[in-house]
Amino acid sequence: MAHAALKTVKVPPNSASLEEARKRTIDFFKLACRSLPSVMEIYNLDDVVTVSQLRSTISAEIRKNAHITNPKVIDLLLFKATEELSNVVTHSKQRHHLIGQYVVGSGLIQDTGAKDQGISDFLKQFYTSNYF
Amino acid sequence: MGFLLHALRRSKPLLRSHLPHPPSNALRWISSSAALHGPASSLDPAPVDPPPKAPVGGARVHIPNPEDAIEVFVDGYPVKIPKGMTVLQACELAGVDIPRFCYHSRLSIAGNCRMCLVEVEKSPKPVASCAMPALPGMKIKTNTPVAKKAREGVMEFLLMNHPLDCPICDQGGECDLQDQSMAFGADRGRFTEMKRSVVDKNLGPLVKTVMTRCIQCTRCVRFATEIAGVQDLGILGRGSGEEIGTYVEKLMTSELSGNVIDICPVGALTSKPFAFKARNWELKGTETIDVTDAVGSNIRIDSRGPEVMRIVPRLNEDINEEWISDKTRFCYDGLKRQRLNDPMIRGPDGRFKAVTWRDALAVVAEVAHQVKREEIVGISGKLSDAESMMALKDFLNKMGSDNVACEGNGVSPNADLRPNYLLNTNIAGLENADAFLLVGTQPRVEAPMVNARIRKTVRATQAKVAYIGPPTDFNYDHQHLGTGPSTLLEIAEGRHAFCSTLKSAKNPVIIVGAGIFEREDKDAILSVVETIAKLNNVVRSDWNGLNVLLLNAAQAAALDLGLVSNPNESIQSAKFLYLMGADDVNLEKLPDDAFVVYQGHHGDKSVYRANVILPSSAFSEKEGTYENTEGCSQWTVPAVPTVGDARDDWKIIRALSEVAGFCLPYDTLTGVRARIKTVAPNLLNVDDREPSTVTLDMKPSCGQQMSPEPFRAAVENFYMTDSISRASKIMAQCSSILSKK
Amino acid sequence: MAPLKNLSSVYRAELVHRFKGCGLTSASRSFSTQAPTTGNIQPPPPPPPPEKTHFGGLKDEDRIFTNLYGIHDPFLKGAMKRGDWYKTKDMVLKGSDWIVNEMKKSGLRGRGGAGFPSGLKWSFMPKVSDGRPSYLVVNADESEPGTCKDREIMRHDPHKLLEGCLIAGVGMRATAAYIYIRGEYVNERLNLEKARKEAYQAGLLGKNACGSGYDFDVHIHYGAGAYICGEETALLESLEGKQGKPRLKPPFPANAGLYGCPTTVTNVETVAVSPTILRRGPEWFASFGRKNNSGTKLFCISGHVNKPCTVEEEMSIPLKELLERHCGGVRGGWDNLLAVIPGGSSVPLLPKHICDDVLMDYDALKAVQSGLGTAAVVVMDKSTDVVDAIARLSYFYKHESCGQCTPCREGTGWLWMIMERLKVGNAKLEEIDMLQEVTKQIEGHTICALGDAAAWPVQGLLRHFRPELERRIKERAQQELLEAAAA
Repeated sequence: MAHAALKTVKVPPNSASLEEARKRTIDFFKLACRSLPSVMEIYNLDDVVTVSQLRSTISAEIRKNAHITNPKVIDLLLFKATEELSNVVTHSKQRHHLIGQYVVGSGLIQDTGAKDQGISDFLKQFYTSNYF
Repeated sequence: MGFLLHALRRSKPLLRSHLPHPPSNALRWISSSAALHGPASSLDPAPVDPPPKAPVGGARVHIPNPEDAIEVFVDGYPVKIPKGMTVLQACELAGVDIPRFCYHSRLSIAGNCRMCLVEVEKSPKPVASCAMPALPGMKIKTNTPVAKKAREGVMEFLLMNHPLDCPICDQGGECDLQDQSMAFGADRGRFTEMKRSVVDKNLGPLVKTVMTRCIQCTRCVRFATEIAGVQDLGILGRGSGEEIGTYVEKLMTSELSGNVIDICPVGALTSKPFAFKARNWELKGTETIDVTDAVGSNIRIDSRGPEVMRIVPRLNEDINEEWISDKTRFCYDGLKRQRLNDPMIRGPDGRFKAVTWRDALAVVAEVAHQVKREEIVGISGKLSDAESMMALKDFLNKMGSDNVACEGNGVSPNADLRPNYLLNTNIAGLENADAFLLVGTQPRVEAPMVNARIRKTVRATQAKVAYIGPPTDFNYDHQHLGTGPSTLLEIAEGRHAFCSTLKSAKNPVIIVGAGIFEREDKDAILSVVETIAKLNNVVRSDWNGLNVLLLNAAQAAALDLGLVSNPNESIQSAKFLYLMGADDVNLEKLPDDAFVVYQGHHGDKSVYRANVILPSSAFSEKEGTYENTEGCSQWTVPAVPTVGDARDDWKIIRALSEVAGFCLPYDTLTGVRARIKTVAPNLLNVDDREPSTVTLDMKPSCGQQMSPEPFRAAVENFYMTDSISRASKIMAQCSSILSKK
Repeated sequence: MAPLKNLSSVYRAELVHRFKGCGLTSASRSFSTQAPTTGNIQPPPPPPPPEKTHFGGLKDEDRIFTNLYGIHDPFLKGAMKRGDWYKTKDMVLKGSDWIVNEMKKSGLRGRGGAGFPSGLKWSFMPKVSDGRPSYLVVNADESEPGTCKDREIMRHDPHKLLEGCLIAGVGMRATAAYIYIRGEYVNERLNLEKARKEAYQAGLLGKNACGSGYDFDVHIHYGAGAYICGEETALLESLEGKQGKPRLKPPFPANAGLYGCPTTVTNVETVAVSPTILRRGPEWFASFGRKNNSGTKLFCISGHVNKPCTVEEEMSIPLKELLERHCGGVRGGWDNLLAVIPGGSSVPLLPKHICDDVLMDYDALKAVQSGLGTAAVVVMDKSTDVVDAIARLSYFYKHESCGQCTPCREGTGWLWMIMERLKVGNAKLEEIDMLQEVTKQIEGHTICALGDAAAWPVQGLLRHFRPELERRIKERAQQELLEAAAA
């Protein structure tokens, strides 16, 4: 099970190529997706989010780094991701952490780049917060 | 707390014996520990004098006439003081803080707590320093065994009948009795009998009483009779049965009643709304100013996390001394109610729907483009700061409209000459006046701190006060001359009995209420007032006694910045109305198809007509410049974060201007202020009053006719004048219980 | 509460003493009745009489209050027959300075309790008015437990008081006198009112008083029965219609008193004796009593004597003689005497061994750590529970404390509570010392002298009857032990 796989987070040897790194990334995505039902249960997230939403959140998080081509960097990001996933699965986090980070958090703001083209820094900041 | 520190500093010799490591700078200890050095050091003929201490609380003394200076010795130090000072004040100047309960520098001397006993050479008994005038060459000793013993004895008596309920007492942590018993009291009690208990009194919705804690210092009684001018509080009974109370069951009906909370040295009088809410050491104090009236009282906002817990006054001799009005002190719970959290758009069903800033601004910008330039109207509210008014005016001007006004300034205000709308005498300057003519103003409800200053003057110098306006409450002697402009005319023509008083006065003061700004014939009234001023030498090179008392915090800055259009006219043809916190605008004549944007922090009156709501921050949450009725600029400082998704006023307008395509050229507060500097540089000189240089002759004459209609009260309900106080539950209670029907 | 009014000026009195020289202090300390023979300035006109070694036995012709017992007509006709209002006009015409000087020469000391020299006190009043009128206020709020001298004066010799008001008023350039009568003194008030009416009708008071051209009004005001209103500044407050709470000094009443005008507050007896002193000459008055304690004085003797009475006697009469000559001695004989409070409730009591030879005057009683006060002698024989007696006094002071200042408000109550427990011995031995300390914490730390007055009786008790207190505590402890063992 997912639990067993995540019991021990080991540092794997570096990926030899970008291809291997890509495979590892997909493996991690699958692992994460497989752990989602238990995450839903542990954190009692049924009333705020669905599994598919979470799945797209995970993929969005991964796609954020799509531009990275250095396998070493990908390995490190994967390691961090695995660590984060293990924290989630072992209930080291609290419900509001998950909700804040993956349900309503800033990470979820869909790409707004298109609309914000050509507006000033002031307005960009204004839309985010009163404090700048 | 500072008191305790002082006390500890003074008791250093004692502390030192307990310290494991003597402090390195042994010099400071030499004189006090001579005994410890053994016989060798006692042979030293001239012990090194410790360096003179700094005066307590930065007390400074101004000796107007050098011949009146006398020298006294406090613990061996010579100190020069003016004649007539008390021993206690002399000690303060010498840097020795004398413990006291009943003494308060702004109240009369009672001398009844006996805590301030000091030893004076050649006096057989310790003397109460607060009541004893210092005489030349007096040798005052504040830390002799006699003085210490006397204080300890008094402290024991005070604690005798004082309940041991510090853990549940709201004064805990800022209690004079607590601090001073730590510093001057004994380490154990000897009183084993029953303690006295006293029935609590009901003083109304603001002041909570726990009378068992009272130490009968009578500060509150003296405050009520001397400063607040209400004879509500007094002493009942005698001996150990003595109680403070209202003689008959009665509420304290003063607009300054909250100040008794501050002056009570124990927890007998505490704030009712603040009761059991927080301990004072949890609070973060932010020194800022008040905006509920045009006085700009200096306050400290005590907050815990994102919540304003209470408001207390801050010392400013020129404005509010150390008092604030009840509205200032207790309106803070209005900051938590009825707040606008998110930008909202009124849907077709008439209901508001929360949207993102992006959408809200887009909608507003679109509508703004569809209307004609002259159909755009902007009105700023009572609580607006100068920066946002500047931005509003710039924005509307860029869009091509000149219809920018500030509510309360009435019909086409005359803002060309600053002295025309300011309190030129200054609040502190009112103390030099010897005759007052109040025209259409009820200072007690319009500006309680100005009223307190007038009362102080009347009490000190028996200055004459005359009043023209509707019948109203005064807490000092006054003559009610009449209700309307006809009386004014009589005075101007010298037909009135009060003319002789005004004529013979050395420093006459005329105060015109800002309520008359709303009258059609205000120019005529003002010119009659100017005539009176001319006849009675009210404006001279060394004295300007012609004043206007404004009502709202935003008014003066709005006039400075030139927000002077006529809202009553422009509103009738408005298609796009931008209300920046303006809630008291008459919207009846607004066309039905007008689009109303309400930018503000409270869901108050105008929200009912608004199409779009843009939430902004309240005065406690933003940095802004306010100019008070004297023309003195002051800054608010953010004490708590904004509520919900609100933004600062000027930022909203700046953002909107960009979305609408008329981008304003400033991105920062400094930028806005740089822009203000080009319009009204005086607004940037914080805490500075520019003396007026204008003489009456420079004003244009006026051909208007006065209407005989009597003056009206500008403030209907003292406790509810703006969106914050209208949202406040405490103020609602006050107005239902305390306001006279 | 008459004595209190002057107690606060003890300090001033002391200064005066120090000023006058130390010879007399040593005399009084040694109980010597011999006046120092040399180095003293004596008034030259009548050569100094042979030094008296014994005082007392005042002859009838030397009595000032000749109708003390009310056997004659108290009103104008009878009063004039007794010599009142005789040549008053002449005395008024001689002027203020003459009156004050004569009073100074007579050595009259305030009869209210503190014994401040009256002539000196009157001379504190401003010589030239700054526009404010000056007032004389007569303190007839005689509430000191044991004291009843002013009562007799007002009841039986009201014209002496009224004439005294005029004389004293002229002496201090006052325009009016206010007599503040204790509320409980109903008959006295009525008599005084009647006498005042008579005096006004006879032109002795009011406009052109006694035909001297001096306008002088006398007003009578009734108190409401508060002891503290006998304190001079509290009396002024009460007279002004405020709560009777003492004022802070300075400013002293002579600068700013009643309604902010210069005022002197004096006791009834002081005022009432002044016309007679002026008529008969200060030397006559000064010939009674020891040096600096001159004159005659009304003594009010109450308590365990066979015939309690108020009697006018020479100052410095031995206490024993006073009691035996006028009061028929102590009940059950002199040896049955336990203690005497020599000057009203606010002075410390004296046990029998001191009473044996003490003289009744200011300095002698001061030397034995008591005071003459109002000369209200309260005699207690051996049947008295002396602790209970003092506890009752403590209750009185607790009840009468005005509550203005802390030590008195809180301290008097505490004293009473401890005294109540000491009465039955329900205390620890250490608490006796604590009690002494508490009295010291009250004494001298208050605005007026009531705090001192509350502390002194207790201090007297502790000084002289400490063994009695210890006995009670030990006995009770013993008894409790026995009860516990029996149970």
